[in-house]
Amino acid sequence: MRKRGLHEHVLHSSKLVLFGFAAAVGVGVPLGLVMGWSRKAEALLNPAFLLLRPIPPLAWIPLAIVWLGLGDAAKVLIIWLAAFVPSVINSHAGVRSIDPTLLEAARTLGIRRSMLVREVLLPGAAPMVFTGLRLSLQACWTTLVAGELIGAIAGLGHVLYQSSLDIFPAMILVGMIGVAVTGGVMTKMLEWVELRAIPWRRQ
Amino acid sequence: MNTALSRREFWVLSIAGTLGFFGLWTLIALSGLVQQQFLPTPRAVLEKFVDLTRNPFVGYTLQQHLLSSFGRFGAGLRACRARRRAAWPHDGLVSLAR
Repeated sequence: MRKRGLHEHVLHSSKLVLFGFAAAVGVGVPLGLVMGWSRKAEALLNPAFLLLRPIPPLAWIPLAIVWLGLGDAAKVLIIWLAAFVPSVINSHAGVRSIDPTLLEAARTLGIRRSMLVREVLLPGAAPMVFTGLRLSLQACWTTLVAGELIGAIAGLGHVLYQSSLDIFPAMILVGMIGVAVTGGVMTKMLEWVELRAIPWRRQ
Repeated sequence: MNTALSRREFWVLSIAGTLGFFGLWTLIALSGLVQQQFLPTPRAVLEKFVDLTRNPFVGYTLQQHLLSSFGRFGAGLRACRARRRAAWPHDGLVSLAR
């Protein structure tokens, strides 16, 4: 097996987190917004969501391995599951937290539906959506490490696993610090995006 | 935002959603797209669930596995409470100092 530098492990783990996170947010946020906006959609989709929600992401690991093998796809699926739930819940809560007076005022002014979504719904729900994204990102890293502990050939979780087999505490700490620093950098990047997307939150 | 649904509407949609979820699962499992070994039907899962309450898997029944997990959960909770009690005098001093 070829030797890899720390940066390669960091890059590999970051790539998996980004794929899983983007896929979860891409599905979870619109789903949460729709469920928050439409009572009918909520009543229809909530039962399935309530059945899946209590299952911890780590409990999916055996099934993900059986379905997708030991490769990256299984890890992305687990990360997706971990990030999906907080993004749906917070997007849903974001829509529900919009002041009804604002919605009524917009309707009274005869605003078009598309404009209502763009000008009231999305900005109103955005703070909670971003809270969900932060929780999702955190969940992604937790799950990634657990996922990479099993059958990975690269990544920070693999560094942790391999160094524990080699009884190499210094390397274990390097892996732990690597996870903390990379996760912290990603959270900061998300905060940067958040401040640009919803500048009024700075106040 | 849509107005609240009537009780009847809510239950009809909720039951439709639940049936849709299990129906889709069954359909995919029976369609042959995925081998049933990899994606069993909900019925097969339910049967296995009932079976595990009677016949042990890796040495224990479902109830025994659950008890074991609850035991660990309880131990964690007790340790947390003990830690809280141990930290209490310190917390009290800190709040007094404030």
